[in-house]
Amino acid sequence: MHTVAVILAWDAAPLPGCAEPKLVMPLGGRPILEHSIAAFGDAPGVDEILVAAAPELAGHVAGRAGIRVVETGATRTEAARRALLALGEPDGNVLIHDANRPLVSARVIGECLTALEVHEAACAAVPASDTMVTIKDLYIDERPSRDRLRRRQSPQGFRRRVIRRGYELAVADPDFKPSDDCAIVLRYLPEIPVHLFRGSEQLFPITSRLDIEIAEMMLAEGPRLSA
Amino acid sequence: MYARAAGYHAAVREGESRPAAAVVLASGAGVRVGGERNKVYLPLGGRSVAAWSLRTLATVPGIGPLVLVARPQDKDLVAAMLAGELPGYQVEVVPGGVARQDSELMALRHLAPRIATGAIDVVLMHDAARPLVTPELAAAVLAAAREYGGAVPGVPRDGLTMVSEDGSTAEADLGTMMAMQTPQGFLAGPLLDSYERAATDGFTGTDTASCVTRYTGTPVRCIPGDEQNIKITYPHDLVIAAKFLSAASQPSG
Repeated sequence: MHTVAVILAWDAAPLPGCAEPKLVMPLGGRPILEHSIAAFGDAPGVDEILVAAAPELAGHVAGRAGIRVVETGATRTEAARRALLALGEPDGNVLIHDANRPLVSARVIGECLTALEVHEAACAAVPASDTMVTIKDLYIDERPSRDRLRRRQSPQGFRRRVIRRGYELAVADPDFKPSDDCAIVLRYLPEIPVHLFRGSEQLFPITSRLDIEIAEMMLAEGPRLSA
Repeated sequence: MYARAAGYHAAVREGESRPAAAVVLASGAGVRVGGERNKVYLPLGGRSVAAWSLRTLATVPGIGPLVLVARPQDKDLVAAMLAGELPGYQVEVVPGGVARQDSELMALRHLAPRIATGAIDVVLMHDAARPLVTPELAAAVLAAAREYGGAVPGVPRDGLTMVSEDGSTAEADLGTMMAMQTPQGFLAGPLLDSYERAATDGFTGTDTASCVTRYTGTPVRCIPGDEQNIKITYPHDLVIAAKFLSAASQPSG
């Protein structure tokens, strides 16, 4: 099945105290954004790469063979929605990945592709290492069993018609709260099972300069930390 | 962090009627970090992971007795840490149990005579794998525990999913939840009572608060936690913690 990897690079904001957008700051000798582009570009089974890029970032990826660039709005939802519309052909799969999770490995992409051979929706996830509770009026309310909790990551993979339908329903809902793509399927298409595959502790989102240092360290340690 | 830990060490206990006790739990095996050694004795910024929170808790106004719950097989590591990294600190070492709750119970039984006389009014339970707890957070937990009976720090997390029993399928987006941290603070009498009853019943809670709520019916207050109060779980967490420490020790912050 034809598979497109959508890389969401909508966020052109710099980190606090920095000048250039976070996604073009160097990590392991190349811009953060390039890690995702290279990982999906190298993946057997990914036929096309589409980068949904903020105008400030589009220049960094424009004009390259094998990469389509879609200029996007200023939110994640808008970026994903425009990318999905740009796919055209409704059949096939789409992998959606946040460019601010640069340490995406061949193993993780492969698991996402494998999951889509059987499932219509798939999501990278890792165990929750803390006890999680819900709060009601400032007091602890509920405490779901930690065994039954996972943290969602990206990439997330879908049949194109499924996630497009999810976005149609989401943007039509005045109460829609921005979320990741998997949460949209869970909320608006409850009849579609979302399969979970093993993510990675390396797939954390970069939100600070310290995170870049941590990612540098993980890159240096590489395979030992089991990407 | 260095400056704070060294800062007002002596400025405690004046005007505090009844001190709280702080219990640092170091009896977990720490298998996920890897290596033979219990992770809480691994080095971090020049001292053991466990020594950081013991030093910090000792500086908090209102905290009196300091208890370290340790595995018997870590006896030599504990002795070396206390002599080398915590000279002059009064740390009462209690042997731990297999599970976290057993270790907490052993600490509470150790404190029971002082709890019975009212010499200790609140107990803070802290995980030794959280070395970066600040005196400010511990003080906030202590104050909230005195006011509400029980208090736990939490930080918001989203992107959480409830999964099927076999873990293969996402069942629901849980929205924003709170990740519990330590120290968790409770009025000492009800806490000890809850743990004794749980031991009688064979009940195991997921954390200190769950046991207290079950047996006292008292809801536990959640107060704002601290994103830097991380738990050392994976090897890279030690590097992250070291970076937080070095950032905190720079004058410009």
